[in-house]
Amino acid sequence: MKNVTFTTRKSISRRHLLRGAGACLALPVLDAMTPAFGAPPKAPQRFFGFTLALGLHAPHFLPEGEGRDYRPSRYLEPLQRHREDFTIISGTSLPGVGGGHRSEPFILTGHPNAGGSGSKNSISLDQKLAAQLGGETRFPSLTLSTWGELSPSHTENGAMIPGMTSPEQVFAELFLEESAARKKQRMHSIREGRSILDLVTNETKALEKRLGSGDREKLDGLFTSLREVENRFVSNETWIGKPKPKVEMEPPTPIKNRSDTLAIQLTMQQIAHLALQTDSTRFIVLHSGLGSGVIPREGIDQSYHNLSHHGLDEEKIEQLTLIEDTHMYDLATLFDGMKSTSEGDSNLLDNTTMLVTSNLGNASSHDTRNLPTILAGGGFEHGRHLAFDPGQNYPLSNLYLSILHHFGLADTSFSTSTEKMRGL
Amino acid sequence: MTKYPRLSFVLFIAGMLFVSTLVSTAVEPFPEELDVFLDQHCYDCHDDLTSKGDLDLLSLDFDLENPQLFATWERIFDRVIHGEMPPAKKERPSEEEMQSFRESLGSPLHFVDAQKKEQDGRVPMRRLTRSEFENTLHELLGVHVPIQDLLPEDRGKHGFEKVSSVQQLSHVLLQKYQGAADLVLDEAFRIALEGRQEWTVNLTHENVSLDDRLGAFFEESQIVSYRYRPPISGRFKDTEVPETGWYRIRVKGAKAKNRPKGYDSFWCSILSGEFLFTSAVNHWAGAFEVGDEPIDYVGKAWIEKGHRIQIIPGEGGLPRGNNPRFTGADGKQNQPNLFPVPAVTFESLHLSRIYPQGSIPKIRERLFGELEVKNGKILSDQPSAFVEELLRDFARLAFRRPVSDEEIRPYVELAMSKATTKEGGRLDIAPALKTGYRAILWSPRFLFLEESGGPLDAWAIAARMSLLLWESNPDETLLSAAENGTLLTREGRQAEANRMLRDFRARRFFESFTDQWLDLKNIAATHPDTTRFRQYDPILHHFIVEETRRYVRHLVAYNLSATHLVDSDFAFLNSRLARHYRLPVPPLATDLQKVSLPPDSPRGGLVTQASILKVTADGSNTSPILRGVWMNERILTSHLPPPPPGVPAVEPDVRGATSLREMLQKHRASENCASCHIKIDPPGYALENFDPVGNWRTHYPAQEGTTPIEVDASFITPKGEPFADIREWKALQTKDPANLARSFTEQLISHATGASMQFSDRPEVAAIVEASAQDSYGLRTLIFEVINSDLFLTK
Repeated sequence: MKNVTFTTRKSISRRHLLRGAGACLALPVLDAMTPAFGAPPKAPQRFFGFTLALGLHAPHFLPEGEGRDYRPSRYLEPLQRHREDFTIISGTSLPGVGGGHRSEPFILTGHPNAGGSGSKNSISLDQKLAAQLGGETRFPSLTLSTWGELSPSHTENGAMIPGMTSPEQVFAELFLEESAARKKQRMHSIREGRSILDLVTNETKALEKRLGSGDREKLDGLFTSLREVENRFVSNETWIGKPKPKVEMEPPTPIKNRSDTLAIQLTMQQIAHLALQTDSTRFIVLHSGLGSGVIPREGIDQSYHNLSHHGLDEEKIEQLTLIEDTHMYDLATLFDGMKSTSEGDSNLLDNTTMLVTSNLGNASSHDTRNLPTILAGGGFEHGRHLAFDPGQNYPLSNLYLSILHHFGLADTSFSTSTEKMRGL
Repeated sequence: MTKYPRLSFVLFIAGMLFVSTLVSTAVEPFPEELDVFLDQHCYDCHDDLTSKGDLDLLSLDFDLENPQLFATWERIFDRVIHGEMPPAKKERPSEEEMQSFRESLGSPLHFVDAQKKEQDGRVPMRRLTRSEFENTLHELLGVHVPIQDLLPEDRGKHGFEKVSSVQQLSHVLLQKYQGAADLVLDEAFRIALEGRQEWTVNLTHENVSLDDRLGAFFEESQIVSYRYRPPISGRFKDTEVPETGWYRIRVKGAKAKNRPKGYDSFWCSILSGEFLFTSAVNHWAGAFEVGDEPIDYVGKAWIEKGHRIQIIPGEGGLPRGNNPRFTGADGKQNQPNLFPVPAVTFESLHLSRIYPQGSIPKIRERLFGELEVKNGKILSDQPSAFVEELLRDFARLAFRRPVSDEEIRPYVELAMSKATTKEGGRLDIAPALKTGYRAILWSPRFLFLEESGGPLDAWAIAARMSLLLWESNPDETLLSAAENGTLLTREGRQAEANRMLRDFRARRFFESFTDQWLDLKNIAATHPDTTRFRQYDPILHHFIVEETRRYVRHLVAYNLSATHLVDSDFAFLNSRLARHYRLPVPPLATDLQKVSLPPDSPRGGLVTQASILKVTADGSNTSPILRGVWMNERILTSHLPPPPPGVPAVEPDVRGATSLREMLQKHRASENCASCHIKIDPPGYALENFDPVGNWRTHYPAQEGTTPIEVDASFITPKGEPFADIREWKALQTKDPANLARSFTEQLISHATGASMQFSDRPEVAAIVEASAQDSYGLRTLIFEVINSDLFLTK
């Protein structure tokens, strides 16, 4: 940990973790179709959430007609080659979740936020799944973001799991082998960390005796978090010794312009695909954040966030559409890749429940109703437009309950759900 | 259901002192007098049949132990007390009836809340915020490594990050705090054991690289940097730094060249970054103003490895010329400039690595006491005695209270297990100390405030005071004041608070509190539309926030009245801000200067400062709703409930600016909406004369082919007083200084105690405000009164 390097202002590079990994940038090319180790006999079920902080311009997203005969909109056009692999869901929202951008942390939790004034949150769909089923992989889950740490992933006690924003770092953690010296050092740090944790846990117990009833909830949270840290240490101790999977993809070159959220997003999608394919994790969320920089693309001269507040200005809508077209085009490419990754006699897309959704139905007016939603893969019956009432929205949390059941969880409800999603 | 004793409930809203006479006469679960009042004035509209606004008082349980029901009854109480209900068209309750309502509902609300407070305290175990954690680590270890960006953001309640009830905690967060502590500890040990690197570069016209087509020029033994297109021109290749860290930047003999008409001086920006076409993100490293007389600039900046600095005339209003050395992608030679391009000239540019927090001897003393470092080792023949002493001193500072033998023992044992290297019979205790410090920095006693129930002990008071006024742990003097009991007296706290406010660390209070109170931490959430607000440059972006912090600091330093939140006859400006505000430009100076405002200027007070006007707008549009909500919540302290579900948001439409006023008029016509919009819209509209970056405007921007629409900032306050514009609105607000003082106090209480206002806090707040009346509601008095209040001195 000496000679720490820094890559962002006022922040210390997380890339010091990669120290020693620089030498193995040229990786031997292996068959990416075969995970290097631990290929499970039956393909596991995965979850991949792609969440958008700024929604999708509804007139370009909503298809005409419903059921199997829907006519694709502009945004759905690129996905049509996978028409039988996804379902469009409209007319839904999260009951009790509102407050414009303040609804962003609630996308996957559905926890009512009192119109934005409530700050408590609860566990998110991805973390719920990971808590039950994430124990078998190197990473129980991954939370990725294109801009800023704000993410829709939340732990059991409602604390946010910050999104990782650097594709290089994510790639390195997943696929780059560390030097023997570095591993040794980490192992040492973990062992010392474990003995410190023991001490700190005893300190917390002593604190519990000195403090009163008002602190009990906080102390419980602290005990839980300490236990979780301990679990991570134990699991890391095991995984440090095992080789990481080798993949075809070259380590991504650092994206220097952090405003280029589209480039970050595309790279993150590629990495996420490989992470699922190599069974490095089974639960991923990729969050397209509230970018306040100008994406360096031809035809765009204002920030993504500014453009989302188009106020019906045609030129702004045009620029916004350029960005959102890219979202959809890249999504189609991701579907291509996952579909062509075969797993036994099925494929990665069929074994991955993909959820695309947002907290905003209309970002220009901060409207949190009529959330643009796509459900893909996972072996659901697809090829349809499930149209609920745009005036009286149907709870999107019902879809989350359906997904939990799809993964074999027996919960009878999830946040505000009332039933499993009708017609799914 | 609980039975509530009756207590005499004095009208505290009016500012009278609350007398808590708990007479234990039991009352019926549902107070009869309340029932009479509700029957007389409320049930008509709020019963099971009509239940206007979804409120059916007949079936609303009076179970105040239930937090949701408590909140509903509290809101009912407030709306009636503030005269918002019954609505204007209904008969007003008599003064007697109001009194009975106030007691019959106010007493049980107060009782239940106060009882809960007594049992659990107001503030559940609070964690250090990331800013407190960073400052404290820096002071404990004597090194300055920014770590805030490695830690999860504290989102806070109403912006206040210290509010414990919303502080997050998870394994992810713990691991990040542990990692950040390790990092600073590593850096401290590295410097203490191995020394540190020096690096310096001094550029003059003789050695500056001129082979860089986007770099500097030189003329007549001066370095010259023009305001050229492409905007990455003016980078200094030779300033590329070898390591990330703090650097001192000196510019000698800087002057303006080619000053355009209307500029006696202009501002130059210093940014750090790669300054390549592919890298758009640059970082603020400073700014200075140049005129005809040469000036020297000295500043410091955190610069990343491989980054270099750029110095150019940075003011957005200055014209840009074409860089003659640079040819575009089409290969065509640039057109010659038809005007003299503004430039800055200087003799030399000096950059050197600095370590702001402490010298090597100072860091060594902190970490190793009197022990000597030899070849990166600390050899001792009495290892455990030294380790114990050092760890105990360190733990006292970290835990903000003394640590007993028994308490330090596990740390010493763990530490000693790492001391394994021997040399000449003596043990190297450096690794032991590092492990011991690591354990202390991971301890919950460092990360959380230890406040046991009831009145706080002197150590906990010291911690609250230093975390409030310094954003870090107590220093030795403050700990001594805790130890000798001084902090248990009003005078002792006052003396310490005075000392602390004079200390340089108090600057952190003005940054942290101002930014959280006024939402300035979100100042960069949107960037102004570059096509419409060309003049918005990094210099302005920096100084609008500085202006507001400086202003608040001044109000506190001179104990000025709370009326200054909305109005004043002075402002803190430099030429950059003055040009933005179209005010007379003050003479060249390095710091912001106190400037008298013209009598009819709309700029006095906080609310019309550019920082506020920007943060309440998005990059392109203003919204009277967003600004109105901000004004209510931050200045007038009226917390508004969120819009009821199902209310369609008003779709912004820039194509016709009048339509919003019309839409809102329709909106207000609905009784349901009116109850909040009667408060939101007036201050929101009062600010309509300010565009998204805080410029004064008389007309909205016109779309092509249309005539611009005139701004109408007139409205009527909730009390029914009409105003024509922001000036008249301010005049109405300054008539009620107690209200503004109360607002400031409530905001400060969240920040100072770690819990936002609760129902039973009201009498105490009223008492604080009342006590400040004799000092014309001065802000410094209010701060002292808060520190001396039971709210601050009790868990």
